[in-house]
Amino acid sequence: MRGNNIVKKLLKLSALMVAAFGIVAGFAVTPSYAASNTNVTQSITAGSLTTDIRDASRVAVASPTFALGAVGFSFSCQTSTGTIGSTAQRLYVDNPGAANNGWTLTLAATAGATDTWKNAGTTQSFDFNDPTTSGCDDGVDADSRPGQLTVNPSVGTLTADCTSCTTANITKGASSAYSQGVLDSVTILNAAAASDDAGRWYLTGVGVSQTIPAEQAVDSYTVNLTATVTAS
Amino acid sequence: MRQASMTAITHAVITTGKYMAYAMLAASLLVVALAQSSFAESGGIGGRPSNPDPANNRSQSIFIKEIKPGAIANDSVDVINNDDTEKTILVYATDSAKSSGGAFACAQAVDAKTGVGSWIALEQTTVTVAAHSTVKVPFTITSPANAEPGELDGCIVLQEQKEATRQGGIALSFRTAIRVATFTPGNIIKNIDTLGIDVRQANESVTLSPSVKNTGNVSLDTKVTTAIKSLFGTTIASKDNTFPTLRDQVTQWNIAMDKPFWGGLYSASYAISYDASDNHIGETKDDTQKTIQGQSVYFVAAPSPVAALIELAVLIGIVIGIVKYFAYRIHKKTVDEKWVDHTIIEVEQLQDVAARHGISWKLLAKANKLKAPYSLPIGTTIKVPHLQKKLQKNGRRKK
Repeated sequence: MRGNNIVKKLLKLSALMVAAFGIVAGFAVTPSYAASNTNVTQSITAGSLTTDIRDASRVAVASPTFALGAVGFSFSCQTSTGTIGSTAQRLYVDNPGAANNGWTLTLAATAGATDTWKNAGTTQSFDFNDPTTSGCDDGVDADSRPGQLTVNPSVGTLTADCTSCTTANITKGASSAYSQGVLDSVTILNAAAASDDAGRWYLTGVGVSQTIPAEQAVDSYTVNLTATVTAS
Repeated sequence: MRQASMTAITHAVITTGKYMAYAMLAASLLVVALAQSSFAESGGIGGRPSNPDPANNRSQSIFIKEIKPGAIANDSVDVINNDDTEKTILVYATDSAKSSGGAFACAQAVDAKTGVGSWIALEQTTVTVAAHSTVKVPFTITSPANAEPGELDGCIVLQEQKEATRQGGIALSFRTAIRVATFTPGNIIKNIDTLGIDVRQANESVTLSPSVKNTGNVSLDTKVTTAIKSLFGTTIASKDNTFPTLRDQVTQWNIAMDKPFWGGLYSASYAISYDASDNHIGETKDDTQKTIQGQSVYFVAAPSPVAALIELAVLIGIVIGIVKYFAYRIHKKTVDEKWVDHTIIEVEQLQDVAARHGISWKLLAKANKLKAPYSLPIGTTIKVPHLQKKLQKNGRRKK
């Protein structure tokens, strides 16, 4: 009787061990059945071209914002600088085989060329695309506020974030200042046809500088920009 | 007793083995769970053409439509959600827009549509897509009756529906766009004019920026070859890239290259080539490449730090060599013109002869090209300074 119990327990133990091995083996090994007329196929399809901001763990950052350096109130026109893209907020482009002839990444004002920097209550504003005196004076545009934003991708650092891709054949855009009706979109990256069809990259350190008009009211201002990735 | 011990041991083995098996089972399940989560890496949202043309590889990435004036083309776009959560995605059409450097861009949603953006009618403009799923959105493109021959571009844009934020600074939103290239048949003109090339230098790189203008009525996939050449025509560095150049636009590319190691005068050159046949973009049958050479410019490149040190050392060596050569020539002239012959009539040491004439024995040996052991056989004639003039000179010095 006792012997039978031991045998049963040994059988249970064996079953448990076989189950454990079976799960690992079953997961690690793709089953293939050698039959005379049966094939097992695996398709890998292209994904979609995307862009967003992610942290160092590649987790998307909700509502990413990049602050320019704070400046004090001034009776003179002045400049504030900053960067788009940092270690904690990387500007990513993913091309999982979606664009096979290159792509572009561009940056433009979400609300269009007539938008401005605004405070939370939208009672104060200054412009981002008035070229008059490099943004220190108001020109003949839709608004009555001076100010100009310059974006300089050429000083940024582009990094390939996958084992099979490189940054070859991807050029960074030149320093460009927004000018209403003349230059409403700035090219951040331009991937040539020979760039990797499957790849993932991120950009950090894109230089930005904003002309702040003289006597601009003390407050915190925001401008909404949209990054667009487009297959060429 | 012995049987009881055996039974106890057996039970212990079985119990231990049972716990080990449970542990292995748990570990294997954990491995599976971790592996599954790494395969499900979260992405964004995007899209692609639903019905690419098998004969045109480019149609997998962009829409390419030939439409006669007044005709309607049908297609659909795959709206893709790569995220782990359900997304509400805006789908809308826009005109194309110009971006800095002539790159392709799409107008904003708020911008008025006056071009291809107004030709596109989507069945849905808001789509809810489940996690890791795709939804097809049909659309039509209606070409105006008065459409002129050539290519015009628009976009189909996909953007997650989100509220704009105002937290101070630059707030970024993101979207993916698919170019819609429409062709109206007729007289297709393909032409590109070269405009020149700029050169900008940084610490370790040189950026060549060639510019061209597409004066035709269709966009062209343009291969641009840039090169840095020495004065002798040797190619120091060269790169090839192919980019689309859009109709009626000036396009400028920024091609970064390694700075030449040796500083000096170099030329920056470029050439462009494109398919001058009747092919649409992406078509390659019977293509006829036309190549145009752009105007080169010269620039002076600073040497790298190592090259600068080498060049400085070589320069110093050359200067020292020149100085030494002229010093030798002057001394030789002095010896030839002002020294006199002295014949050795008795055994003398070179040092004694030199001391008698008030010069060093090394100078005397050098002037007469004497080699070690510097012996002076009787009858040898050597050049020595004129003793009388030497005494006169010494006398003037003592005064």
